[in-house]
Amino acid sequence: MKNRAVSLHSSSDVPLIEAVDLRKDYIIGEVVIPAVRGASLRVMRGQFVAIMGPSGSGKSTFMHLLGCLDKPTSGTYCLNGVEVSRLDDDELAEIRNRQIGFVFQTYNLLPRMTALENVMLPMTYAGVPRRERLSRAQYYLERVGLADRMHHYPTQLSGGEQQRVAIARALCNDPILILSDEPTGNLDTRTGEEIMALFQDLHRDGRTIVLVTHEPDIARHCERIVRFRDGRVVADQPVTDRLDARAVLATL
Amino acid sequence: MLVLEMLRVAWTSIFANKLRSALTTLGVLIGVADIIAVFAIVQGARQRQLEMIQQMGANIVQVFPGQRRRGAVWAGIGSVQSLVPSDLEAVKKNSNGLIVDACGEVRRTVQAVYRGKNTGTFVSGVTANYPALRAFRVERGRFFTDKEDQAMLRVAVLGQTVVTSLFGAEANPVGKTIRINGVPFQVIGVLAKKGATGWIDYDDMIMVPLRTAMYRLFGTDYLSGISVQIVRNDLVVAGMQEIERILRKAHRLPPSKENDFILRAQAEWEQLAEQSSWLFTVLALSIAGVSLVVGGIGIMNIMLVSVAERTREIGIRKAVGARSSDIQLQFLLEAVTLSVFGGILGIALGFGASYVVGALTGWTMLITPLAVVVAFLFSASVGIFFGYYPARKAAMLEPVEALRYE
Repeated sequence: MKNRAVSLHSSSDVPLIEAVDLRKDYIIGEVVIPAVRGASLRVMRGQFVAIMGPSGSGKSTFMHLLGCLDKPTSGTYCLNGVEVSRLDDDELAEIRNRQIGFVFQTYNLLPRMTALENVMLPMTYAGVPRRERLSRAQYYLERVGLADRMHHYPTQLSGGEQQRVAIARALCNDPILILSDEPTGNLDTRTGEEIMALFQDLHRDGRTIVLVTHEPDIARHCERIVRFRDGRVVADQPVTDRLDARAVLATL
Repeated sequence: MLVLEMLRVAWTSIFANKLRSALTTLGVLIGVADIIAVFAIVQGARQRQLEMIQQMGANIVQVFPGQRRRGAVWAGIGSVQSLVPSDLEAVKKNSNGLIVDACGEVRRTVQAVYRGKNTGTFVSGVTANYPALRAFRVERGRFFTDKEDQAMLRVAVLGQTVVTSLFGAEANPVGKTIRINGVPFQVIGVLAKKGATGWIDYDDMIMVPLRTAMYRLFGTDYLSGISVQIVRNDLVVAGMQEIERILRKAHRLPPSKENDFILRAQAEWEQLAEQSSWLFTVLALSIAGVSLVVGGIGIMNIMLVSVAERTREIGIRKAVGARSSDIQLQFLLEAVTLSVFGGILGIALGFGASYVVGALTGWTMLITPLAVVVAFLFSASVGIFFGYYPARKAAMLEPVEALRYE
């Protein structure tokens, strides 16, 4: 938790995300397929950004680059002032572990572990003592409204509940950035809205969130929409008609 | 702490596939059980053999007839008949104070019969001082005397195995008459049990006076061996030189000729026993080694399947911050857990097998802590060796690729 204090201390006018001219080429056989072709993005601390674009526009690959799950072919990416495009695999693993919380479309929970154990997993790799892992995991599961589901296995949980577990897991190491790839993609409207309400709560608490979606209604819950096409950023606008998830839920 | 967590994951995964895991550990299990049982047999036999040799006394030198040599080919011990009773007398007389006593022996296989019961066994024709020199004890009745030997009386002292075959266990044969190769002998005593070394049964023998055996039973003028008692353990080498000098003189060997007899001290027997047990150990270990390698390949195979099945899990773990080394250690621990599990079961099975073999054959089985430690380390290293490649494969997966895997 000490590094966290230091990183929070850095002046707020340093962008949390500063990606400049990122490229990612996939080489399949002898063919080079450019997935991201020079995308740049700056996100300040506390922002809630939606990345939109048609499928194949490179938005998911860009998200993986931001999440340090993949390394750019060229370009620079600074996360909280640290140039992560130069780091080695172990250092990237540590960034994924401590600085970033990732929420996937398919939840990606480990099937042989209970909700509680799934949430404890990132803390295990962070070397948090068991007692603290347990209490923090319980705290975050309560926060996402799953106090009574802690000892359930993923197969015993609904899609929305599984996504809440995934969010609790993303939060447990208190990351500086939360990334999410189509978090509502597998959920019905109401459940999707509940998940968005959770994200909006996190944003109100001051967290920085970047999510990928292709649904305009989901994107309208954010503050800012970045549009991708053919591996490049083609538009970057603030959201004028913002939706409040709780207000939407009230109408459903 | 992370390691404990990984061990827990390994157990969960192994128990999630009970049958598969059980079959996988079978190879290691058999290999380890083999190591334990064979060590028990070989160590037991070696222990018995050394005990027998030590009972014989460190100051006993044995003399055998020499080998006949044709060109460069040795025909084997006993291929020549060179020891005669006068050699025995010569050794006893010309002692220079180094030699305390000496006894002669002639040994053949015979058929012994008592009232229609019939057994194939050994007869040792020996001098009356033989039990004292060679640490045989009479349990019942008495041993024969020098006078009986001189008179070539037909008296016999039986080993326990012979008593059991001819009279039944616990029977008292003293006073009864048996026939050895058709010649009637009166039983005057029974030897105390000596036991078997695994291969040789020291109770399966009949002792009769030397001269009776030579002249009334076998019709031979030659001895199978002479045992010589040297005055002190540290004078054995000098004693052997003395025996060599006496026998060369008695046999009138010119300096140009080689000995026509062979001398063996106890130390050499011990060496031979060590060598033979070492040979068997190496042989058995190579069999166990094959089984362990096969078991190891089984583990490698299953670990590769496991890594493929859990590609997505590996992706998730990496996404939430597992380093490659964490993944590698996790899968390595899983492989080692499998093989060590097989190893522990194998040790248990080896103990069981040793007990059963011991009970069925009457062999002494000796399970040494060393064998258990060796078996355990073997199984663990099989896991490490054969688990390394699959674990490496898991660790090298790219997080994005692994997450995309369906």
